[in-house]
Amino acid sequence: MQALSTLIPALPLISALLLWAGQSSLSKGLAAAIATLSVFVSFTLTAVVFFSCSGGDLPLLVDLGTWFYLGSLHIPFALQIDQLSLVFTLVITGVGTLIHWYSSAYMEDDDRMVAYFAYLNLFVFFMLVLVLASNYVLLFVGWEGVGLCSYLLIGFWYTNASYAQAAKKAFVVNRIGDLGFLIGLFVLWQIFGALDFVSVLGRAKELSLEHPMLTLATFLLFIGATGKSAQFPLYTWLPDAMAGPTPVSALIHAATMVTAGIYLVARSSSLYVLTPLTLDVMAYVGIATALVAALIACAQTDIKKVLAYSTVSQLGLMVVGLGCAAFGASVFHVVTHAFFKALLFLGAGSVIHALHHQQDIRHMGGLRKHLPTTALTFLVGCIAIAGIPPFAGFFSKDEILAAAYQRSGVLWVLGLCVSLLTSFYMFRLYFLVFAGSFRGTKHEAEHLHEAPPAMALPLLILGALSLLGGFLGFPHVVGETIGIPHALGHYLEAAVASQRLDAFSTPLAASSEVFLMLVATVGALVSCFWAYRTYGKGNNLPKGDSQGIAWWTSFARQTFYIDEIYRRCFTGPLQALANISMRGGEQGFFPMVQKGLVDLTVGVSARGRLIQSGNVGVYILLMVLAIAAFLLPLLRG
Amino acid sequence: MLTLSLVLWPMLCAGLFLLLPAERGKSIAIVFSFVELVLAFIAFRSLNAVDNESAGLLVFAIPWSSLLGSTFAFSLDGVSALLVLLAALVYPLALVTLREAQTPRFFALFFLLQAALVGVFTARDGLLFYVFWELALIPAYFLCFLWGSGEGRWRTTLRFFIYTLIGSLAMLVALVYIYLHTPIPHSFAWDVLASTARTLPDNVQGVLFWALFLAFAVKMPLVPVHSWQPDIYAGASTPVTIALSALMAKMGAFGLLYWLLPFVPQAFAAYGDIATSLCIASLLYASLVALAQKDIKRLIAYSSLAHMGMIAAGICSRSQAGVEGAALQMFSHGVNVAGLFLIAEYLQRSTGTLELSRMGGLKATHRGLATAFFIIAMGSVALPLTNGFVGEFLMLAGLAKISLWFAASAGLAVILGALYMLRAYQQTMLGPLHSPSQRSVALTLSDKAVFTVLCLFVVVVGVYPSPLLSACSKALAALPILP
Repeated sequence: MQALSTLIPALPLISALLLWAGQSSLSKGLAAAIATLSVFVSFTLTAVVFFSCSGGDLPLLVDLGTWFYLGSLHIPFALQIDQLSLVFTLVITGVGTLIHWYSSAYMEDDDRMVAYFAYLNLFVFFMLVLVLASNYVLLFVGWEGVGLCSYLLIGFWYTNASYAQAAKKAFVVNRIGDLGFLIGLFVLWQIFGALDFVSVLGRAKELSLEHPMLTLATFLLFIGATGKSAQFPLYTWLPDAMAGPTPVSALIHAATMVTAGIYLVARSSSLYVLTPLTLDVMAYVGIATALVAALIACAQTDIKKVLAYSTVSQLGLMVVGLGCAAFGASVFHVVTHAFFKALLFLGAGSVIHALHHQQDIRHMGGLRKHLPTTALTFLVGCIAIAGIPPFAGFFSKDEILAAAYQRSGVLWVLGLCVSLLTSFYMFRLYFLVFAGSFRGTKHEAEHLHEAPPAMALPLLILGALSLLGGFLGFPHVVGETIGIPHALGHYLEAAVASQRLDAFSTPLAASSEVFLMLVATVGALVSCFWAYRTYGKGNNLPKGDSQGIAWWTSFARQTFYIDEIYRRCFTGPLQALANISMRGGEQGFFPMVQKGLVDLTVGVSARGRLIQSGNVGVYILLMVLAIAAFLLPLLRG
Repeated sequence: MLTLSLVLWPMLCAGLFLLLPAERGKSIAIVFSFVELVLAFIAFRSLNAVDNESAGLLVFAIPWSSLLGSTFAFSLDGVSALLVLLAALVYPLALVTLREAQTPRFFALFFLLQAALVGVFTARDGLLFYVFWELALIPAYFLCFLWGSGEGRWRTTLRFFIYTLIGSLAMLVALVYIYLHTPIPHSFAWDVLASTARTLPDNVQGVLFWALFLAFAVKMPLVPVHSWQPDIYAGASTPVTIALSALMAKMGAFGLLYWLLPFVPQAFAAYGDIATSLCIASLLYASLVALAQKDIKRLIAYSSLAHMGMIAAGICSRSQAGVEGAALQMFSHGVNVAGLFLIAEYLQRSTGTLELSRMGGLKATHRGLATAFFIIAMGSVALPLTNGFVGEFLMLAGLAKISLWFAASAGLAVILGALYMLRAYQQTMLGPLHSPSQRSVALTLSDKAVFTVLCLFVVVVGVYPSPLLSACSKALAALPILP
C-alpha cells in the first residue's frame, strides 16, 4: 500500500519530466496520451487506496527519506494519507484526468502542446504533494510548486506581454500570502517544536483556548490561504489569471489549486477550533469577498471573467464555512464546486474554441442551436452553481448557509444575497451566450462548430457529476427522513474537527433547516427568472449592457476600481520608493558622503602640505613654538 | 597535506602561466582548474568518509615565524570544504564560457585569486588569514582594472581598493590587539586568539566586534559600505565578476562565521540585534534598489547584495538553524549568482546590450538560455526544491527565533526578490521579440554543459541538501559559537 501511495504523486512527475525532456521529439498525440494516462492511473490508484483502507488504517504514513534538519527537527519527505487527503486526491486526479483529456483536443493546434502537458502534469504532481504531505514544510513545497506551475501556465502564450504580466502578478501576489504561511509555520514550530501534522494537531489539545501564539499562527496561515484561495485583499490575481488557456483556468484556477487554502485550514482544523478570533475574521473576510466578487461578476462581459469572479465568490463562501467551523461543509463545497466549475470553464472553453477566441459575451448569443451538448452541460453547471435542488451545488451551499445561520443572522442574510446574485449572474451568462440569436460576425457564424468528442465527453461526465455529486452529503433533515446519512461528512469525521470549542452548538431544528432550504431555493429561482426577464427574451442585448450603461454597472464592470486602487496605493508607491532609493541613495546620498570624505582627506592634506613650505624661518618658528608648548606645562609644575 | 595542496596548486598554476606561451591559454586553464576541482572533491569526500584518520590529511601546520608565534596552519572542516568546493566548481565553469582569447597574465592573476580565496577559507592562523585576505585584493584589483570595461574604471577600481583596504586595516588592528593579549609566548593560532578574545572585558569586545564587523561588511558587502560593489560587478569581465560575487563576497560571510562569532560572544549578545537589523536593512534596501535597475548586470549585482545581507542576518541570528542555513546558502548563492552573471553575459553576446528595456521575447530564439535563466532565477528566489530554499528557510527560522519581526521583514525580501527576478526574466525572455541585434548566438556544446551543471546544482541541492548540510552542521557544532 505504501509503494502504491508513493506512485500517486510520482506518476505525474515522471510523465512531466518525460514530456519536458522530449519536447522536441514527442508527437502531440503521444504526449497527450502519456499525460492523460499518468493522471488517470494515479486516479485509479487513489481509488484502490480509498476502497481498501478502512478508518482504522488511516492515517497511513509513508516515509520517503530525509530532506533536511531544522535545528534538531527532522523534516522528511513523507506522505500522510488520510480521509481528508484522499478526498482531495480523488478530486484532483479525477477532474485532472478529464481536463487532460479535454486539453488533448483543445490545445491540438498549439505548437507547444508537449510543453503544455509537461506543465499540466507538473501541476498535478505539486498539487498532490500539497494534499498528501505529512508536514507543513512539505505542504509548503506543494503550495509554492503549484504557484510555479500556475505562473508557467498563465503565461503559457508568452509572446503576449500582458499574459506574461498576469503570470507575474499571480506569482508575486501569491508570494505575499506565502510569507504569511511561512511565518505562521515558524510560530507553530516555536509552539510545538514539531511541524508534522500528527504531532502538531495531536498536541493542540493540550493548549488552552485562545492561546495567543496559536491565534497568531492560525491567523498567519489564513493569510497564506487568502493568497492561494483568492480572498480579500489578495484576490486580484485570479481574474487576471484567466490569460492562461481555458483548461488551465478550469483545473488550476477553479477546481484545484485555489482550494489549497481551504485544504490548509481544514487540515489545521484542530488548531482553528481553538482560536475563535481567527474563525470570526475568516467568516467576515469570506463573506465580504463572496459578496464583492458576486457583484462584480454581474457586470462582467468576458465569459471567463464572469466565471473567475464567480470562483472568487464561491471560494468566499467556502471560507465562510470554515469561519463557522463547518470544515466538512467547506470541503464538500470544494468537491461539488470542482465538478460544476470545471464543467462551466470547459464549457466556456468549448464556446471560445467554436468562436476562435472570442470571449466577449456581447458578441455571442444563440449558441444553443449550434453547440447543443455544450449548451446542455453548461445549463446543468448553471443550475448546480445557482443552488437549485437536486443539483450538486444546492447541497453543499445549503450546508454552509445553515452553518452561517447558526453562527449569526447577518452572516446568513449576506450569504443568501451571494446565493441570489450567483443565480442571477450565472443565468445572465447562460442566456447571453446560448439564448436569443447570434450577435457575432458573419465569418464567426459560419465557422461555429460543436466540440469534438474528446471535449464533449469530459463535459458530459462532469455534467453527470454536477447533477449527482450532491448526493454525497444529504442535509441532516433529508438524510434522516430517507435514511441515507451524510456520506462525506461521516467519512471526514476522523480527519477534520467538527465544531468550535468556545460555544456549544445545538443541532439545527428540522423545521428551521427546511425553512432555510426553502428560502434559498425560492430565492435562486426568482433571481433566475429575473435574469430570464432581462436577458432571456428578445434577440438584442438589454439597453443597460449595450449603450449608456448605468453608473453602478460601470462601477462594477471596472471591478469597483480595486485594481486601480492597488496600483495607486501599493504597486506605484513601491516602484516610486525603489526609484527614490536608487536616485536618492545610490546616486545621491552614498556618493555624496563618499565625496565628502574624499574632499575632507584631500582638503586636510592640501592644507597640511602648506606647512612644508621650504621656508627655514617658518620651520624654526614652528620648532620654537612646539618646544615652548612642551615646556610650558613643566614650568608651571 | 590535501588542504595545503588545495592552496598551493592554484598558486603553482599562476606561476606556470607566467612561463607558458600565449596560445592555448584557455584549454590549459580549464585543465588546471579541473585538477583543483578533483582535489576539492576528494577533500570533501574524505571529510565525510573517515572522521579521525583523515584528520591528518585535512590539517596542516608547520611553524612559520616562531618570533611572532605564527604557523602555517591550514585546516578543512565542513564549511571551509564547502566553500573550497564552490571555488573549485565555479572556476572551470567561468573558464569554459570564456569567449575572447586572454593573455597568460590574465590566467596567472585569475589563479592567484583562487589560491588566495582558498587560503582565506582554510587558514587557521590569524596572520596567515590576514595575508591571504590581502593577497586576494591584489589580483582582484588588477583583474578589474586591466580587463574591465567602462570609462571611469580607474576610479571604480580605486574605490574598490580603498574600501576593502580600510576594512582590512580595521581587521588587522583588531587581530593584533587580540594577539598582544594572548598568553606569552604570543600566538596567532586561531583557537588561541578565539579563547583570548573571549576573556577580554566587555567594552573591549564591543570595539573588536565593530572593527571586525566593518572589515567583513565591506567584503560581502553590506549597506552602507557597499558603494564599490555595483560598479565593479557591472564593469568587470564576466569571469572576474563571477569570482568576485560568488567567491570573494563569501570571504566576508566566512569571516563573520569563523573570525567574529567565536571571538566575541558577549559583544555578539549585546550588539547582535543591532547587527541583525543592519543586515536586514541592507537586504531590504538592496532589494528595493534592484527593482529600479534598468541594466541586467546591475540588477544581479543588487540581488547579490540583498542575498549577502540575508546570509549575514542568518549568521547574526546566532541560532543553529540560522548559521547552518547561512553556510548552506553561501554555497547556493555562489552557484546561482555565477549562473545569473553567465546568463547576462550570453544575453549581451546575442543582443549587444545589457539594458532590459531593449530586450524581449528572446525565449522564442533562445529556448535553452531561457530555461536555464528560469531555473536559476527560481533558485535565486528560493522556490522550494531549489537550492535557495533550504538555506533561506533555515535562516528565516533562525531569525524568527529571535524575533518574528526580523523574520517578517527579511521575508519581505522574498517577495521583492520574486518581483525583480521575474521582471528581469519577463523583460528579457517574454513578450514580443525585439532586441537591437539578432545575432542569435547559439550555445555551444560546452556552454550547454555549463548551464546543465548549474541547473543540476540548483535542483539536486534543493532536493537533496543533506550531504552539504550535515557537513556544515558538524563543523558549526564544533565551533564555540552557539549559546
